[in-house]
Amino acid sequence: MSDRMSKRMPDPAAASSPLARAVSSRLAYSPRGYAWRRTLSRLTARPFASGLTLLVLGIVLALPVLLSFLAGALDDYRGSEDQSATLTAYLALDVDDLDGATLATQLAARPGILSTRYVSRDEALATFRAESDLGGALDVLDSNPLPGAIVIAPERATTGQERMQALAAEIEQISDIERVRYDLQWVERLRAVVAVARIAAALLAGFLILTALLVVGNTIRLELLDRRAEREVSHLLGAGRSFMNRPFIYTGLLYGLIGGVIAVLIAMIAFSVLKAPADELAGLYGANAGLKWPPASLIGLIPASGALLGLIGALSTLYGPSRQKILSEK
Amino acid sequence: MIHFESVSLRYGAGKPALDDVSFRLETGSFTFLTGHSGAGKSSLLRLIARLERPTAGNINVGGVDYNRLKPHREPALRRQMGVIFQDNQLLNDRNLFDNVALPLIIGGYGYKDIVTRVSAALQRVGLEHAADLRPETLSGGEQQRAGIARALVARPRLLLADEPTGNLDAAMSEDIMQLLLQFHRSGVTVLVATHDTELLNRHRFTQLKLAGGRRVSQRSSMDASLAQSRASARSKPHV
Repeated sequence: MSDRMSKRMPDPAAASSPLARAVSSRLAYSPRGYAWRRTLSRLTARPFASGLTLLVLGIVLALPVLLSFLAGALDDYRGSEDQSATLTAYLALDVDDLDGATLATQLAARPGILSTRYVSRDEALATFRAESDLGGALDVLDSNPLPGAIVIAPERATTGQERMQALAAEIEQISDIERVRYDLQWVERLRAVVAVARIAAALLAGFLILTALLVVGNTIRLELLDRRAEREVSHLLGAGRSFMNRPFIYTGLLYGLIGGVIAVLIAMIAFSVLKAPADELAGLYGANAGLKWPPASLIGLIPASGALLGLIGALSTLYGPSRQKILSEK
Repeated sequence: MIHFESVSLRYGAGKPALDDVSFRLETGSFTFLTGHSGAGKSSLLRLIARLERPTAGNINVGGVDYNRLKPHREPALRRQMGVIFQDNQLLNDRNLFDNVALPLIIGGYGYKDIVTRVSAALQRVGLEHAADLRPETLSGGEQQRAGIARALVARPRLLLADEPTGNLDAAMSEDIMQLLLQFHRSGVTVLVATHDTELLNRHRFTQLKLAGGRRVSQRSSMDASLAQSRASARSKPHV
């Protein structure tokens, strides 16, 4: 071959450095490079159709992604919700602050109790005045009618309804303690609602993932029909099945990957919109923290999962039972 | 090189496309496969290229017994052949260079080798100026030459041509024929299916004639030459 001829040959990496040109030319004409080249050229040849498919895929994947973000946030939230499950032990009126504080320290050392906080009679009165509309009624009384109290935070393993009951009964036996109160009903209700929501979300996510698989599968099916001539020529020229299928596998992979990235973007926008009201709601239930942003590892995992879905969608179309039917369609 | 032994091919329940066909073609030979449309020429070529499986009989090409050939070895067998079609089957979504390079990409050749071979093939068929052009912008004759370049770029040992001059005028047909002869002279075994009688009269090669799916005759190049001389003698006016 003459130099003149080689200069005339098309160069996939024109207008770049000689090294980059050499590397990209080698890659572009290797069997795998060829498959990527075909995939990208098909994707960019019809930008509107490709963009629309990617957007549909992104929207379909966005809801499971958002649900996975919320599930992570709920796990964090449940931790703080458990912490808000406390018992309050009301002391006898004749127990002074020193005895009350000593009793609180002794209780904190008991098994099943994470921490205690002593609330003196004066502190209880101040809080009542500040938070109750009846605060002014206390002015007519000669002395403070409110007892001192110890707020007890049980260990996480003790926060079930029955265990809390047992702990309350045990503490009530102590001589200086008049009464023990606790309210776990709202926590239990919230847990039940969250459990149902998680199952519904998992089912919904399953259906949407199935939809994403169908979207990719159908895209590959149309590509197969569209590239029939190329497949037939490749077959005649001695291409094996892996060579002929590779561009379609890469197409599925790429659609899944880009769809996953779009899904992350949509889910993060939705998450940021939800965050403020969710934080407010969490505050009403006494949680220390509201919705937390998902970790970077989870965000990175979504496009990878999308790529895997795309791969599965492509492989199921190429090697699944409908393959022969697709290839025989006119 | 090519040995057919009582080969039959039937599509579905209809009449057989080929019925008990036997013949032998030697390595390095140039053979015309003749017969009317529907005689079974294309079916025979498809059997050689292992695009169809015979319903009966045995085929041996280059020492490979097709009855013992495993399906995963078929693509490698096909890569040792060049195939040319009447409609050339070039892909219009890429330029001529990429069309001709396709068998080499499939074969896993390196980039330098691809550039060298494609350039040489295009030069040999006189299309070195058209490497960047899409096939649809070329004339019928140029497209057929490009098809030949693609069939021969990987230097196959066997070239199968199905009506390669079917859509071309006499001058272009002769042009294509000369190209095929060039490759034949470099040692390639060539089998050309044609019903172009002018072409058959101009070139004295072995003819394998099919009719209704059966082999009706196989004339050596010497027979063909003799027949042609007699035909031309008969057509001369007596003095």
